[in-house]
Amino acid sequence: MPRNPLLEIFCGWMRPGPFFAGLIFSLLLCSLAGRWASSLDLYGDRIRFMRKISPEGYVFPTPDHVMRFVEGKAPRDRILVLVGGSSKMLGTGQKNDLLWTRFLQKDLGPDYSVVNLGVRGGQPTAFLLPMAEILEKKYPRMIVVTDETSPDWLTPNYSYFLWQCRMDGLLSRNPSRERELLHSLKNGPQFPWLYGQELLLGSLFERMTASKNLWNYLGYQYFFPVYSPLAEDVYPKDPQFAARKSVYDDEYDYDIDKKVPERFLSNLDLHLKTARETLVRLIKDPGGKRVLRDEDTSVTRFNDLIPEERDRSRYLLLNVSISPYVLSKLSPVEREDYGDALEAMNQSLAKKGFQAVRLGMDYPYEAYNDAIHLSDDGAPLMARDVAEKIRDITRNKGWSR
Amino acid sequence: MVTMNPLTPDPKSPRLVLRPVLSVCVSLILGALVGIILHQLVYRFSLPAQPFVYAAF
Amino acid sequence: MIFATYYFLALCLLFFPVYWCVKNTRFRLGWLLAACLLFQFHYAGAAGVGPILLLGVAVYFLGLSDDRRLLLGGIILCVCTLVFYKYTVFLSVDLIGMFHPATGRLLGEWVRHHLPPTPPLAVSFFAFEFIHYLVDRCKGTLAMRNPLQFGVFSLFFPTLVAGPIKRYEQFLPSVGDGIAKVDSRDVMTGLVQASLGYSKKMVADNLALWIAHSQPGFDHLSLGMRWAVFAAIALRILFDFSGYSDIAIGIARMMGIRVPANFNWPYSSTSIRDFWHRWHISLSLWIRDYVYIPLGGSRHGAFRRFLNGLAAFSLCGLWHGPSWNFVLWGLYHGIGLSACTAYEHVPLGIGQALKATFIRIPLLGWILTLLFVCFGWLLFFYPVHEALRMAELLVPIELPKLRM
Repeated sequence: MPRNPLLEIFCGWMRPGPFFAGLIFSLLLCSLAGRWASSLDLYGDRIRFMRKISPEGYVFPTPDHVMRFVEGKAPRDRILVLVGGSSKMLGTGQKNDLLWTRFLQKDLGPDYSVVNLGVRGGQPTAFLLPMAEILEKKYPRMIVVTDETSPDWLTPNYSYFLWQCRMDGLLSRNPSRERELLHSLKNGPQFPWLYGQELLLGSLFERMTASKNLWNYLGYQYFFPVYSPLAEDVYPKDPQFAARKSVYDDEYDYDIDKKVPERFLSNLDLHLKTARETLVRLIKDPGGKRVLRDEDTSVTRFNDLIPEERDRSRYLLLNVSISPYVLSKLSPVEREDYGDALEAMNQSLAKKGFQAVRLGMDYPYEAYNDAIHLSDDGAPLMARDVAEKIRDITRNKGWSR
Repeated sequence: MVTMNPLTPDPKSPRLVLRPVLSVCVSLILGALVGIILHQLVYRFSLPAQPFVYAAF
Repeated sequence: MIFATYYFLALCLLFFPVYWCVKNTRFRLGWLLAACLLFQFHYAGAAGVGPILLLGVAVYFLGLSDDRRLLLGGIILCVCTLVFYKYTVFLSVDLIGMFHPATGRLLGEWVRHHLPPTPPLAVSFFAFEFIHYLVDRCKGTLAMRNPLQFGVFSLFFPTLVAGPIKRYEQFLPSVGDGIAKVDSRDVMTGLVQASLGYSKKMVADNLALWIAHSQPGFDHLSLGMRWAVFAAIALRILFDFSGYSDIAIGIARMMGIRVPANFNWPYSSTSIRDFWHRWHISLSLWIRDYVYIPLGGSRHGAFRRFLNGLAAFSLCGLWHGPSWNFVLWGLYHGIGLSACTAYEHVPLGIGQALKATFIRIPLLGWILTLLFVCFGWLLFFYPVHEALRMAELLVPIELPKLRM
């Protein structure tokens, strides 16, 4: 049976002692380099984690780097407005210069710092809530802005972040969150690299070697070693393996080129179905008032994830309506019920101590570029409404005049 | 453990005589390379095997 | 990929220091077996560890006997296990379904309902190793009496999942040597080989992503890009498979255990016969020793040799997966190998002239072999109609369509 002659010859004249010395030295050096890289504000030149620098583009920002990202944009003497959640918060379809959080910053003025941690397909648990918890002490004046969470607790691709924060000891104890994480340890998920055990062990190895910190840095600055279909598919195209710092910085959306109503026609039936599903959540209480049928998943989830001891009045949940064009296809009664359903959810949240605001129902059709996401035209409108609510909150807290 | 001396010809494998300094340097460099590869593996293991593209409906 | 998981890394980090530091050979053997069992329990999947453990226990006891009937029974048991877990759906849906689609579909649904969603981990490999052991026992070789040694042979975690397929008469002395004499040079060589394997895997993963991205739009690519994808497919399978083997061999070497190489620069082959001496060597030797030679090999004339070759290679193809494209791939190589052996007998001096040409211009043999092998990969990876379509798109001239 054959052996490998070349390798045998090569390893035959090498010396084990220097080999292992080199191995251990390079491992230590790489780990130290990773620790150093974790102190850098790697994504400081970006305004948000648009998809080519997010897990969708094979870039998995570490908690260290996201912390530096926030700290780089938010001086401690200002009120921090931490925005996060799904693509609605990210501003999918909005150009960088016309991003809603830019308008929000302009509306709020220099006493505030607005930082966008939204990610496509993300929930508040993706980057936002762990960061909010970690930064609470450094930023005593902080408002956390997110949208209503989807039925999923956490999109699997963002699980790594939560596990890493937990392994680094950055999060306080939360039984509900622990329950969900431990549940994932036993569950057999769809994708092997997302096994709870893999995430747990991965976060342990990361803590020991800081490898993600180092290789994220090298991939961002010099050479990205993973082929990503996204670099080729999403406009504008970027060369493969190019340093991620050079990828074009925008969340351009092809739908924006389409005129109303063409933008909204794909999946229209599905969107109408979703809108109608919110209506069945409504019942009338004995007083004739419209209330939610039972505790909404979003409300329960926020209730579990943000314990009462934390100042819930700093958490502003945006109830972003489905596009007014889609709503125009509902009957007037359905439309009214839809608005009542969103309002009812706001009231449930308010009862738990959270802040909430309903947005979008009275915006023009052009304010949306598809059924869910606001366009460049809608961005200033959303920013205006959110800024007004934030000013209310900070005024009530005595943080501002 | 028995450590073999590379300068003593092993009757089972072909002889290759090199200067000791070169042998030490190459061993050191190769060890360092292997260390870098192992460090990168800790990062690579966390990457998904299939692409994940989020598409809002 | 199992070798690219944190659990496996953690397993190695716990296993190796203890293995190296405790110099007692019995302890090392037991420790190795414990690691193998832990590996099996963690990665077994939906089918669990039952099949391999039960089959292993059965084969161990049957292997102790000298009674040919018992040994034959064991071989049949191994074959049935492999067929049951891996090929029942194929036999019902694809084979019976070919003649009677409704029955095939019903049978397939019933089978899917009763079988675990995935077959037992490495069923193809451990079934083949057990069959080899029992067949060799029939020939009169010594039995593996030590249950620890048998356990390590059956469950050896580096080679369990993707080979190389081991032969117990080479493996056990290697284990004995390794356990007794592992030294720093073994660890160093093993680490270098495993790192090489992982590096190849990284390249293969990138290629696989690019191929998955480009192949659906094969029609719309330029001719040059199509050939680039074609080359990438060939490189990807080589790096993937040989990388995996390198990792397995490297990790075994870190224990001091020498496992034979499975790949030997296969794309430098100058003939199909040469290719199968360099590609998945352990499998081709197994097929030769336990299928081709028992069928008669080349001992009964040219035609019988041709048939035996086809049968052996179709089984080789089928072993890779329960699907017709694998069978066709195997047949493709069987025909190629037969042609490679028989072409020099073409009359009117043509055969001899061809042979002389190949000797004079080895480059020609290399190019033809490489093209043959690479076109074969299209059959391996894609359904037949898709593979033929892609092959057609690679040829720059319009090929005349066959008319009925």
